[in-house]
Amino acid sequence: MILLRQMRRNAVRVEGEKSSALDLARGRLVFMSTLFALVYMMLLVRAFDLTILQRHDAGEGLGHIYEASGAADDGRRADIVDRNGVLLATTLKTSSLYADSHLISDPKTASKALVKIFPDLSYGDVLQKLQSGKRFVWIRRGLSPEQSEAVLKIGEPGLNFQTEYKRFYPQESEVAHLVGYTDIDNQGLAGIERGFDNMLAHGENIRLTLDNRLQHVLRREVKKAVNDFEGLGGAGVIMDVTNGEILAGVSWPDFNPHQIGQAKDRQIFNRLTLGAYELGSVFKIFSTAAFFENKDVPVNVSFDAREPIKAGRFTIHDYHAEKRVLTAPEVFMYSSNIGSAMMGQAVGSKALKDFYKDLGLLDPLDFEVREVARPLIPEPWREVNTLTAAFGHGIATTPLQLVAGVSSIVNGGYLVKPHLVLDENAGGKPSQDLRVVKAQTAQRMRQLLRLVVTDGTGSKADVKGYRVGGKTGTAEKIVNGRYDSKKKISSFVGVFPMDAPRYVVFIMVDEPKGQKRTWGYATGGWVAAPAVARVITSMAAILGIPPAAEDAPENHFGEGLKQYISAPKKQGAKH
Amino acid sequence: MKHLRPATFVIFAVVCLSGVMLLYTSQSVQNAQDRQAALESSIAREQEKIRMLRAEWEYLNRPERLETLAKEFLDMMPPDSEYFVESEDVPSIQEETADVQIEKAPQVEPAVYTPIVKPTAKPPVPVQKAPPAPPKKIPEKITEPSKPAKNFQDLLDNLGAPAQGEGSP
Repeated sequence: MILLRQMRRNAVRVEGEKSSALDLARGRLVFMSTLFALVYMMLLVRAFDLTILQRHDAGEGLGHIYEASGAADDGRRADIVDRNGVLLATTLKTSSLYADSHLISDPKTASKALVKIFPDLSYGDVLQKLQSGKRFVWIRRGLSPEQSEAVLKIGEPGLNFQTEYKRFYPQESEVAHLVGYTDIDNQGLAGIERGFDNMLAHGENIRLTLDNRLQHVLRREVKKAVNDFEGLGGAGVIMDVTNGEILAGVSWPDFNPHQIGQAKDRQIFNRLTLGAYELGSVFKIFSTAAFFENKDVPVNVSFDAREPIKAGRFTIHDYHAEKRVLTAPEVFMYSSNIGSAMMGQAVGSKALKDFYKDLGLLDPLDFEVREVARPLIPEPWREVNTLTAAFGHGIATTPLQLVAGVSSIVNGGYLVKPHLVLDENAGGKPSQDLRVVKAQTAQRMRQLLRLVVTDGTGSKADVKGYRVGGKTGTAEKIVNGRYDSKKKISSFVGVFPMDAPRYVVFIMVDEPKGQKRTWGYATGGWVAAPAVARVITSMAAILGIPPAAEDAPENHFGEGLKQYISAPKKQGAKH
Repeated sequence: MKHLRPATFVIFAVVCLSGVMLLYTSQSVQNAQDRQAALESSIAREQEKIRMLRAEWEYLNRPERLETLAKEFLDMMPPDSEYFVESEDVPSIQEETADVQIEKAPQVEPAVYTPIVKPTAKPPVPVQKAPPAPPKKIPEKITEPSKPAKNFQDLLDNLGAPAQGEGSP
């Protein structure tokens, strides 16, 4: 500037006759100096801007850091919720604080500040860590957003965060088998997490048909039944018979999905879909339905159950033999193996096999959870297999398949496909595409199932006012190629309300042991039926299902069959 | 100085003015952007907090936990089909209780409205008011009865445990 002014002064001094030439030069000089002046002004203004106007930016730098880390939100794995929107699985951002002690400039100040933020840490420990000389030492895991911010404000370059997305299951082990779990990289390894891995990874939330409250009730009762009878394990399912929505599904023992590494194989094993069991007498629902579907006979047709049936090397006995001629309702309510085998024989191998196939009992279940077992069916299927398959032996299916089959019969004869993901467009309307049995057969089966509970082996499943129907099942397990009468699978499949079936509840216990208070019995009627009754009682309260009034006609559903029963109701154990 | 005509000064002034305005505008834009960024990050933080709180809420509302707590602290029992009441039975119950109240109401009034000058006898006892129920004994410290007391923060700590151990870079 000074230089310019001097130049201008000099220029004035030489002013004279040659002014015209000098004028031009002066004009150029003025132009140049104006230009310089403008540039300096701009610099001045910019300096003012940076030092005065934008000085508060340093404090807002934190905001940018958060924004940068928040940008990864798009990659977050989506939530899984139950039908009422209760969270079953979600992803949380966890940040963990670690220190690089080489970069810590002032360990004492930093330690003091850290202890102020985390009162549960001790000053000595933190100071020791910051002075340890290690390049990596954890200070604190699982920080809240406020805590991270406070740590950033300390301004210590040696304190760093490791931010991670962690899968969190608020219900812990309650729905562990169906929801599944993920690995450390948040990739689905089991259950819905595996079946819908891609969708979840792309941030699409999934709503399941499960009801968290019913899940709890079912799990509580399965657990109680297994514990009361010292069983190895158990399984249970609640399903809507009209559309196949699974409201609850339990496999016991279960595991904590947060600590999958500590879970044992028997905990992770999903008995509901991956376990194929010979389920025994509950299969009589299918053989009886097949019988009435294929044979145009009155409901009181009778069978001679006086003598065991001999088929090849096998002899078919009754567990509690009535040793007389039984009508069809009696065969069903007393769960006579001989009678059911005769029904199977009457239907014939091909027709029975076809019927089972139609119900989906012979193929692996097409299901959203990919851990499904292939049913074990006799190969080749001989005559004797027809007889045993009629009462649920020599053929092993998953519990879920059985429940689906029962639903398809009692709902009026329409095939249902069990599913776990809520179809919000369907609006819970029944699926009526494929008929498997006639309406008349369905109605007869409903009456027979009710009879089992009012007068037969399933009396402990009755809940006043709810017209429960069902069938007990007690199958012997095969140990070293032989049926072992000590090791059983005891189950009960219950349906209610029987006059217009809506829900099916199934509970199974693996190897229950007879107890003193059950007089040593560990049959389906003793083990699973009372558990099903307790589930139905709780369910009714949760879903607000009113019981039928005492004098309501619904309470007398199925009583027409009682005329075909010759013996009075017997108290005691049956299977 | 014939090169510095008045028009030059005017132009110069306009340039300066527009420069100042440009600066001002750019300043306000920058401020607005900063505020936006700050708000966005605080929204993101709040959303993360909401997520965390929702997870905690669901964790604390596990039916299993609620059931245990209810058993411990409430005098309630699970409903049974016996307790369902038909809706037409309900009005009759109301009528009965209404009768009781009408009968006893007059006795109550003096006790409430007139100041008692000479307490000759015991003032009539207000019938309407039920004797205050003995307050339910509230345990001094609500300890979760279920298993080892697990708190949400501890759970998160375990969840956030990264794979590396201490000392590894």
